[in-house]
Amino acid sequence: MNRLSTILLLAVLAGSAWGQDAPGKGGEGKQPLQRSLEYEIMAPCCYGGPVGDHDSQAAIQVKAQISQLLGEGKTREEILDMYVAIYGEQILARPRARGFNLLAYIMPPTFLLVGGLLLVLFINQVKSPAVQTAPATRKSYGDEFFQRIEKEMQDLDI
Amino acid sequence: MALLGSTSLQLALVGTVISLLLSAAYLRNRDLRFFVGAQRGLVVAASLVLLATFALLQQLMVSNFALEYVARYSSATTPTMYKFAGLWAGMEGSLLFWLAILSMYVVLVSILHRKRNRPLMPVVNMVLATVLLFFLIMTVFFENPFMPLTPLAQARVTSGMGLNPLLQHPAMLIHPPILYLGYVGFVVPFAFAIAALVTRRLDATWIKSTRRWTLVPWLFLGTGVILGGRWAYVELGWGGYWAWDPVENASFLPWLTGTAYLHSVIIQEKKNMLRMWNVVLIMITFILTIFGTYLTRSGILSSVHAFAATDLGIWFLGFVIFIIVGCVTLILLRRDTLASQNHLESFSSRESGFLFNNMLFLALALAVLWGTMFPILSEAVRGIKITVGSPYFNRIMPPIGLLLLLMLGIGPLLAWRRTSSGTLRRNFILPVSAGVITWAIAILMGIQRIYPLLTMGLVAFVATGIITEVVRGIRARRRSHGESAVTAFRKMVDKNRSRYGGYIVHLGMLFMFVGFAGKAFSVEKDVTLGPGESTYLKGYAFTLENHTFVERPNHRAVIVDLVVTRDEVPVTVLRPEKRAYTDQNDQPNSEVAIYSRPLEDLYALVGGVDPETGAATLKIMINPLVQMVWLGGIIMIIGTLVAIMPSRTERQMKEKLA
Repeated sequence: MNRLSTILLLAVLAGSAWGQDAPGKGGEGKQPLQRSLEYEIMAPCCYGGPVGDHDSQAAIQVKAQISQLLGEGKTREEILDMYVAIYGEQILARPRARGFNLLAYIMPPTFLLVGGLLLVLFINQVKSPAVQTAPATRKSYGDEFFQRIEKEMQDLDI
Repeated sequence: MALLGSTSLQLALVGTVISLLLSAAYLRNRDLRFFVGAQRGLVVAASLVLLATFALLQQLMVSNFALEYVARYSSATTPTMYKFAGLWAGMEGSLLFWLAILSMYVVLVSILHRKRNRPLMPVVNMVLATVLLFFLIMTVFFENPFMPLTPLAQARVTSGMGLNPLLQHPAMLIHPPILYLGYVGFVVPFAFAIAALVTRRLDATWIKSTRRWTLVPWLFLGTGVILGGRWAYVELGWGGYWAWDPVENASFLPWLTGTAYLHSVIIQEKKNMLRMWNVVLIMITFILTIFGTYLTRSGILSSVHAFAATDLGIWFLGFVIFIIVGCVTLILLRRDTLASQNHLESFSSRESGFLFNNMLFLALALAVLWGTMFPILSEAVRGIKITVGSPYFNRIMPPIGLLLLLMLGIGPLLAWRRTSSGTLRRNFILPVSAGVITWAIAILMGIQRIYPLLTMGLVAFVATGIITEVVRGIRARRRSHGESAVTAFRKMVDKNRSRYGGYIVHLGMLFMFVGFAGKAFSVEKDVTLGPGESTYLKGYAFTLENHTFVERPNHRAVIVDLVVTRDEVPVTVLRPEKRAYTDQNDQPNSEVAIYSRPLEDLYALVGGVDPETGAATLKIMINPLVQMVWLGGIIMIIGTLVAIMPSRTERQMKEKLA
């Protein structure tokens, strides 16, 4: 049953993976750069979402402009710079990782690191002294003994 | 009826003040009569709020445009079911609705804890009354939904302004109430936590008493968030379900901290540890619900969901600060009783797993909060407006989300107290193998994007871990009780509902993660098609057949027939609509057409139709695996219900007591 479940699960995942990257027979949608830019620039009508998600006249106009600028050979950065020059930084759907805005990107991993560090310190602090010397005890009893206890505890837990 | 509603609210305000005074008198004199009076006063106040809510609903239903609120959020042509939704469409009504839900919880707590948790109840009563009083003050003095229109305005309003077209969707009938049930419901465990602190009864009793009071709002909040995603997907027309909008984030934050709390209380129940942590977590969760209400109603952040800016913001901020100061003071006063009574034994223990899981949930919540508030911080520091939208969150969140997914798999494989190296090997070998094999298969199939690849491997790892755990449990029961596999499974789940309900919730999460990974592979096309013309996307042909104009009670619509074929075999006909709402000054709104298949959704939106040529501007998307998100949500709901339902032993005990 165990093996069967694993096989079934892998089949489902493999199936979904197959479905995802299956090559299309015709029409692959927008070019990745065009699409990425449409989700990097906010709709200037209301700043309620990126132009890629909007169907307002202003958003449609920006999408057409992006297509035209890409056609003229402009790079991603040049296009973004152009919009920032016209509308200000608010036009970008995410702040550029520069200057003060760098904080936006630095803080989330910092939360994670500091949280992890504090947790390790906390666990060390609340670990019982008796158990900190446990390796010696464990050696004398061996893994089998602990496995048996764990198994019995798991059975009790059921 | 409007007078009845208005008077009920005013009387409810008086009743709540009296209840608070009586509670204070009880805490001073310990005379039980004061407490009984306080509780009754609060129940009466809550009942009056419910009466006022009923009165507003009635006014919406009969389209009494003499009331400003009804005139603004309803119209003579608004369909009846959407007149009902008018209750939460505007600021005043939504505040009253908040109050109504809170009142329902107040009445339920009073009834269900009539004989239980007696020592805690006076303080619980007081906390509930304080929150009720704050919202009553906001409603009665600042945002009263029963305000009449001026005679001049009345003369102009003949049929009401109608409900926002975006809200005219069946999901909007259930999404807000369910979300509110979740949001407001966290007040109950919060009130019990405060009561436990005040009365110094900080053992696991208050946690056990509020387990269901926490699971229920958590379930509602999660369901509300998923329904909101579903509404966004089918109504907003951008092909996604989560935009990391400030208001969406506001509902996600308490869910994250609430989830952390639900995990960490297990350690207090089992090991009598983390007393302070659990109190702090439920406080944070409640504070985030009020903070979220502040974000929605202050106008400090722009959002498609937010109400217009009002003066309420400062009051909500004041209330949040009041709660924070109160909580911190109480914790400092009780820090001696909050010390842990036990110790952890090892890093490689389930307790540590829970703690790491907690840390990740909190880091995720902090990251969401940081991103949500960063525009305000940036403006305050640099004086420059910036946007922190979905591309930012989509860059920041996946690594933390994947770590959380990893912990979801590791946690259940660890033993309580300590896990020996032998057990680690035995428990991890199969899940790790499943993960690695899935990665290999995905790579061989040409998937190169790192996040979807990692997600698939981790999903296989976690799912195999859960299945292994369940199979091991069934085997153990079969050995010890000689039961069939089905009976063993049923009895095992019934005996430990919170554990196995939790596993089902985890499985639901896995489906959702698969759905999230699928988003990376969605494709789209903006195209203008004339009648009979076709466009192609991912092997599908979309042919514009024709269009029709229809007139409905409160809108006109143009409907496009888009025939979809694959290898010349008909698949479906998509019929997206473009509407103009006549009761909203012809406000346009697009109705999406979706054809869902198990592995992908065909999604079409019409921007407009040229009446002369019949050419239609279309947006076509193919969204893989979106169904997994909704399926995952349903599985999560089932899992939570399994955890909430009383076990057979519990039911038998109750019957005996009865």
